[in-house]
Parts: sequence; C-alpha cells; structure tokens
Amino acid sequence: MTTMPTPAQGEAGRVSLTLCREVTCIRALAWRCDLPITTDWPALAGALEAAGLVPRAPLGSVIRFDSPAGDEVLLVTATGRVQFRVHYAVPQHERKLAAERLFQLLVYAWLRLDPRAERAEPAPHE
Amino acid sequence: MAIEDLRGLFAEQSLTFLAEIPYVYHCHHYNLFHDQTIDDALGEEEGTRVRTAAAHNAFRELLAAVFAKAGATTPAERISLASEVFAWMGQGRLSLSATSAGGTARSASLHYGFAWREKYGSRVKRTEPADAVAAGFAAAATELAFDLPSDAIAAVEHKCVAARDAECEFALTPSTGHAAKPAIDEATVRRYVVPPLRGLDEDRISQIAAGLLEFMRGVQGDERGLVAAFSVFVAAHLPGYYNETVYETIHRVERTMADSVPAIEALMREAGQVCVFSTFGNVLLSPEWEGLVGPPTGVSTDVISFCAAIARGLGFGHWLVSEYEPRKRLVIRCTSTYEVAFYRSRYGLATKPRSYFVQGAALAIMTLAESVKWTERPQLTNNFYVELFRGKPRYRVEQTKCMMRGDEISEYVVDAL
Repeated sequence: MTTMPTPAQGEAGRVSLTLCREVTCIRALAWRCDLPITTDWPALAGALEAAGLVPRAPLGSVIRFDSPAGDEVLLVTATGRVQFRVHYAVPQHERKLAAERLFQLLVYAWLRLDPRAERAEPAPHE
Repeated sequence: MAIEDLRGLFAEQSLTFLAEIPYVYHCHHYNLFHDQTIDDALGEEEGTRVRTAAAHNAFRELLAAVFAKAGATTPAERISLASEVFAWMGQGRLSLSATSAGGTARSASLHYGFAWREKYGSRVKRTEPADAVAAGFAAAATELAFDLPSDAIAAVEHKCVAARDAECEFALTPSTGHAAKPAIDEATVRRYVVPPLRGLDEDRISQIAAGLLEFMRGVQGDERGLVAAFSVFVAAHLPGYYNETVYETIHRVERTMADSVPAIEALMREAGQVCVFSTFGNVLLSPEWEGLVGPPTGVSTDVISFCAAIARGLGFGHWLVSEYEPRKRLVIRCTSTYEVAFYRSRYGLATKPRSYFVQGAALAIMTLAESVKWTERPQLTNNFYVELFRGKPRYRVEQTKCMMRGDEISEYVVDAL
C-alpha cells in the first residue's frame, strides 16, 4: 500500500482517497482508488481529458481513458471504483511511481470539480 | 481486407472463428501452465518438439485460410499479413526475414516469452526458450509465403526474452516436407455439435455471454502485438494448438508409460483449473465486468452462472449449468467445446472421456463459487491457488458423458467429498 496527497473533507461526506494495489494486480501493473459514486462523472471525464488523457469508447458504466504513455484509467461510475493500469512495458521498479502520477492527476481533477474540496485537509497516511 | 472482418461467430454454440478456423481466448497463466504440462509429461526436449509441431500445424491451417480469404498471393504480402494476424491475436509482433530457403525471425515482445519473464523472471532462472508457438508460426508463415509443403521449414528459437536475452531470435532452415492434414474448419466443427440446450439461469447467462463476446471483438494486440486486459495478458489462440499438444501427449504416454497416465491426466485437468482461477477469476474482478454486470456479490449461484457466461464469451463453446446444489453438487453440460471436432476428426471415437480441460474447469468453477469470498476482494495469487486447489480436496469431478466418445452430450459432475 502506498500513500499520496489525500483529499479529506470535513465531518459530513468525508472522503479519503488512497491509492492501493488492485486485487488482481500482477507485478504492480494495476492500482485502485475509490471515488464517491455521487461524483459528477461527466465533469470528471471532461477534466481528465483536459488534463491530457485520451478518452476511449465507454463500456457499460465504465469510462475509459488512455494516457499518452499508454497507461489506462478506468472509472466505474456505478460503484466509484477507479483502476489505474500502468503500461506493461514500464519497468517494474517504476510502476508504482507511474501509478502515483495517474492517481495525482485524477485527484487534482476531482478536487477541482468538487465544491467541498475547499475544505479539504490532509488525511493521515495509511 | 481488415483482419477483424475475417472473424466469424457460431452464436448459438458460442464458438468463434477467424477465416473459418476456430480460435479462443486464453490468458498467459493458462498458456504457460499448459506448455509446462506438456514438458512435464514428455520432457523438455520432446515437449518443445511437440509444441512447435502443433503450433506449426495450427498456424498453417489459419494462415492458409487467411491468405485465401484476403487474396494474398505474393511472398511479401503473405509475410506481412501473417505478421499482422499474429500481432492482432495478441501473440506478439514478430519480424520475419525469410526466403524459400529459410531465414530468421525476431521479436522483443512475444506473448509466451514476455509473459513468462513478467510472471517468473524475478524468481526463476530459465535457460530454455519459451516460444514454441512463435517458432511454429514462423515456419508456417514462411512455408505458405513461398508455397512450400508442410514441414518444409523448421524453426528453432535460439535466444529468448524468458532466458534474459534482449530479444527472441529464431533460425528458419529447410526441412523435409510432407502433405498437410485437412484443416479443422468451421464446417468440420459444425458436424460435431448438438443443438444447444437451455440450462439454469439461461437467459442471464446468454445475455452476459453476448456482452462479453461483443467486448472481446474489440480486443486486439497493441503496437507490440500484446493484449493486456483483465489484469492478465490475453491472446487469441488456436484450439488446434491446445488439442494437438494435449492429445498427442496423452496418447504417447498411454503407449509408452501407461502407469503415468493418471498423473498426466491430472495435470491436464489442472490446466483447466488454472484457466478458471486465473482467467475467469480476473475477469470477475475486473472493472470491465463491474461495468457490464456489476460488482461481485459473493452469491454462489451468481459465480457459477458468470463462469458459464465467461466460457461462452471466450469462445469455449456452449457450456450450461444443468444442476447445482450449493456445497454439494454441480453438473455442467456442453453441447459444443473446442476439443470435440479436433479429436473426432484426427483420432475417431475416444475410448473414454477425454475433455480434461473442461473437467478441471468444472471443478474450479465449483471451488470458486463455494470457497472464495468475492466481496472481500481476494488476491488471485499463487499462494491462494495452492490453498484452494492443493490442500485437502473438497470436491471431485467426473466426466460422465463425452461427445468425443460418441455420447449425445458432454457432462461433468462435481460432487463434494
């Protein structure tokens, strides 16, 4: 498990975002965090596209993006699950860092569109 | 003609074809285990020879059909198209430089070698090459490009990414040709299916399978000719390869080492277990599945229905759930599998049930349904596999009917011990 800038909001609706290895992760290729299902997904998708990710055709309730480096970001809007798939060509020792970059990009995009983010404060690292 | 336009679907039997030659999807865990099983049974040298020959024969069937459909007639056209097909399948991007007298092939990204290094490379030192499939492909592509007979070219891999070389390299040399066997094509396959039956939860299974088949239609190799999907490396592959390796091996063991047959059959069954645990398990835990079907519920009937749907979605045939009693009994039936047409065409009627892959898969489906806590995000690690399948047995499987033996259907009964 690793830690990243973690937006935490005040009492009600407190959200803690943590990057962790995905359950099916093989050699650190897949990583995960969970967003509130109340997230404004179309707005988040727009923010991610503006941040440089390339949208792909959605799959059911899954919004999919490619990064310019070939990584993937998948947003499951029905459950809030986010999966970061680092490209398999990235050397093993660099995969965690690559996942952290994607996570950071997502967090900043999410913070920009959530009005509660004004009250965000760092959460304890896990 | 685009490669994807060569795809075909026998929808009611969940069988998929490329230029009318059957293909299915398997993940690298299964593919590596399958190859290891062949080597364990025959020894490394003979295992490699059998695997290379099987790939050679299977890709001759496919490429001959592709070239005919695409109207590829010149050697350059054929070699280029063959390489594109191989990459499209997720088998890797192979650079082939050959004449009618042989040549070389090389790649830094082949499904087997790359995935082996990814899975085992940091823990195991390997000296033998891993890419018999690419070797067989390279030989077949060269022969067909120059209108040479079957086995006129031999391919040997002498450098391999799995053995820590920077690239895989193959030498292609002249060999003694012979007449190829008739292809196992769609028309042949259609002779060895029976009308599809409805099983438990049929409507939901059919609907999910159709969605997964549609999703898989969009899957193809990337710029390196690899497919990373569902947290595994996936490849479209030829049943002819799996079937020839399995049945040539088992027949040979029956002829020469009869005492070893039960052990080898158990290994063949275990390959089916590995497939369900790794491929099906990773599909069930994937975001794609969550988006298409929903998050794992942990309900055992769901897991069993979903596994039947996944089998159909990967092109394994029409698997149906015939009976299910939680923690006691599961009966899977198949009106088609990717094994039957090959066996009946090549060997005639089997003397006993021979569908080792589905036997193991049925046992694993019961185990995944009853023993995995899906809602707790299980890690599908090797340790978990060992815990589930190599501890005290909880279930046993018996194939009670086999279409290879001439029975009207194939049936697999899993009972609690």
